Amino acid sequence: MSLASDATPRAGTTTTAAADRISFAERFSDRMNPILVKEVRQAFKGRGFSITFGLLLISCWFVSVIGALQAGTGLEYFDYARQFFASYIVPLAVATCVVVPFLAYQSMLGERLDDTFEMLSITTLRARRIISGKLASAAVQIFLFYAAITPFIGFTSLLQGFQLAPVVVSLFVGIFVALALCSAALFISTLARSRMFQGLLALLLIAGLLWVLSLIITLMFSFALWSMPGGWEFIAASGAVCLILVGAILLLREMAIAQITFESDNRSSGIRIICSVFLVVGLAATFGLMIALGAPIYPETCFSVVIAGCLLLAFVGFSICTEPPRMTRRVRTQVAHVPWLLSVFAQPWLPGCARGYMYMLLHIASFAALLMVVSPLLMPGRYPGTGEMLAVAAGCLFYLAIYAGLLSCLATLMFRSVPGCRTAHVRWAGFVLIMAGILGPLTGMLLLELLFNVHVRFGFWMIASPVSTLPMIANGISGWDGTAILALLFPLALLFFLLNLGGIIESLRETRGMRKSSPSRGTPPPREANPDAPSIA
Amino acid sequence: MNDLLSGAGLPAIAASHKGETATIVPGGPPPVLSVRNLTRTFGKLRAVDDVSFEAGRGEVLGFIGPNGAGKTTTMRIIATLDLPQEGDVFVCGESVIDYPDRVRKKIGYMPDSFGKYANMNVLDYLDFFARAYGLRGVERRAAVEHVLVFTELRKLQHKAIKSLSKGMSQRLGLGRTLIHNPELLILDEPAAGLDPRGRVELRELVQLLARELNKTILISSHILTELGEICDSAVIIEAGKILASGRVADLQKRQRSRRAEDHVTSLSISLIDSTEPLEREAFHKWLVQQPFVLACQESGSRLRIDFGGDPRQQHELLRRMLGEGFPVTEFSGKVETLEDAFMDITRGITQ
Repeated sequence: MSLASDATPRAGTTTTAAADRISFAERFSDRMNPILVKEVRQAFKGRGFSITFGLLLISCWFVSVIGALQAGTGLEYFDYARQFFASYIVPLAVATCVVVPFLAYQSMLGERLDDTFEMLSITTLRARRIISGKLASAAVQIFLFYAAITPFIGFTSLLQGFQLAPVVVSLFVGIFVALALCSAALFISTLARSRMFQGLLALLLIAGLLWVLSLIITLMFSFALWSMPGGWEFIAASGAVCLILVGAILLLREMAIAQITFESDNRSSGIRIICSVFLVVGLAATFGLMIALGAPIYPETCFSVVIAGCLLLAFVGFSICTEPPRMTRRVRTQVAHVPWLLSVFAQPWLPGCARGYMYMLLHIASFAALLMVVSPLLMPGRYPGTGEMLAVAAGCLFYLAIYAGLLSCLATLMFRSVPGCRTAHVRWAGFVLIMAGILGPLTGMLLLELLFNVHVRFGFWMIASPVSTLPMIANGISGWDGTAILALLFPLALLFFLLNLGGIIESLRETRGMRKSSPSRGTPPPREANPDAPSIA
Repeated sequence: MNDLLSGAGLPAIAASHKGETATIVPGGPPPVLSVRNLTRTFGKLRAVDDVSFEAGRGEVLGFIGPNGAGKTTTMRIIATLDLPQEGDVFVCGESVIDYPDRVRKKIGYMPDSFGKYANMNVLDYLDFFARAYGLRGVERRAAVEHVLVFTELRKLQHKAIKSLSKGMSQRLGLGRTLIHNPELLILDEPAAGLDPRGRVELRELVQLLARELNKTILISSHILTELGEICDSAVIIEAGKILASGRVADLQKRQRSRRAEDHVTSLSISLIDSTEPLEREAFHKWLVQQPFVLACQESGSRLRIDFGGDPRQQHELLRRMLGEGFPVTEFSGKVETLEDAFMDITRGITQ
């Protein structure tokens, strides 16, 4: 129902006839995300997009004319396709990998600086739709820039030495790179609160975008000078890159969504789910492809997968293990409507530091199980260093469990004992602790060597630093081989598990308790008991 | 418990465990807005302290208080932009804490300064918010059209927002809050920065919304004379606590009767406009030294005094005043306004 139904306009109106005529474009746009519609309208009206579009066309024309003039009649006979392609990709990369992400950053930051974000927050649009709309708008702009250079790529296809597969794959990967950069830019735009921090982040973003651009230019010109890679290995590698980029896009998007979601809402489950799905899909794709192709499972592959998984888990774990221990009332209300058994199984994906620790343990256990399953297939003895690699992977998993446990304990302690404690405070404290754990022993070792000329190979006090111990596990040192260090890490991990056990039990109780006390949907409790009120069945 | 809550005719709300929304038991108009024991702290500061009030359908409720009293914090909680530490707010029976998405469909919030997409035109702005509230096709077009007509912005629909005057911007803001036809409008200082014509026009729009469209309006303003004219009831808040609440007429009446009980009369005295400040000051000093003058304060170009004597003693004061040669042009008993009630009730505490 709209205002139309009961408004009493004061001036004479001629509304209905005009309102009844809805064009196809408007009907189509009705199905779109409102943010996408707004952003596209604003982008087309804004100078940023139009100037970039114009410059892209001009630079491609310039490259074509200058290239054709330089090549002369040799254009028909010599291998010029690679050079032309690389020259077209550079302005495209500037537009899609620098301008579009920066415009996305500005757009999201503008919403917050101009106080329009609050206006959006009280509409029916949720944070997910806002970020998705911004990302979709960036995708539309990327698509338009791609459309602009299509005739030039068409021209390149007529030249000698044109290879369709690498060109298509490169362009395809380029889309994901640009989208990943846009997701990163959106995420960064949600981080800043103070003006100074915003300025600093903008500078970092620009530096990062220019660095990526320089990588693309280097890559393109190395293709132009040498040769474009081909074959199934290139396509498989590109597929892997795309998979990683898709994961990065989704994860960064989810983190941006979490940043702009109200603290009282569920900011955590999305990140946890995306990370789990990404890990499962990544593992399935890696091992599935190897099995499908009949390729042997190399220890390096397993090691790389586990290390990449650990890095991702460390990144996500830092965020989820520092959350407040209890769910907010709003989240409890939402969870109360989920069947109890499902909510028990979903515990690791629900908000809360102890649940974050559970999430980490679940994934660490999965990785450990995977290592146990694949280790007999690794043909030990045939590949040197298999044992060390497995030991390092196990060490990484132990460290993850230890630090996740530490963060979870810290969060529980701080939220309970420090009045007015916020997640940011816990994260800073956790960051300082982790840095002290990692860098402290290294600094101590360096100081001992510099000041007292004492060369320390290993001591128990170095156990907190994976940077110190993992190389030792990998190389093996006299008296302190990998097994011994792992044997030290295990009780530490167990200790943190025991310290978090109370929190885990409390989390399970909280889910159960909310079922008993959850309010009925939309029912305000009576302010005063009214004995005369008729009962309502 | 404030007076508004303890007043008769409030509906008894019974919980319906099967239903989606609250069921209001017959016996009074259902409250569109119900604020219950709301408490919000920022560190050690209690910005809102156990605040409770209600507003029925079609009611204009003035939310009055000095700067830092907790008005905006309360309004932001009602608008689902903030969360209380204690208490809850129900809009048409839906809790803002548990079901913010449902509440957002029922409220229109206009903060004192709201963001505008400067490079958009009026039509695109309203169209975007109509989409954001989930209006589609003909319904969306009609809603935008009617808001343009209602706020008299139709002629300016293709004009860029950045080129609108303050008054027109406020109209646009009001139009945005109305686009999805909410039941409750929360207007935080809507008249701030408006010229006198703009204020009158805004007042007319608010009255029209309440009287003809039956909207419930929670409005805060510093211009109490205007609030007194448009509000049915008022809540006076200071330092996070409700000091008084009730129907505006009742508040004024209560103020009069309280003064009568204390044998205090309000008198208003005007001097010639061209009176020198020094002479005005001397008059002020002389006045406070006179018998039965309990308090004296300047209110615009006038002086307002609390007088503890009877009419004969009032006459004696006037006689002495003229005898001293003060340039008095008016001496009258003052009609109690919302502003007077506010000044008497609040103590000027800021947080």
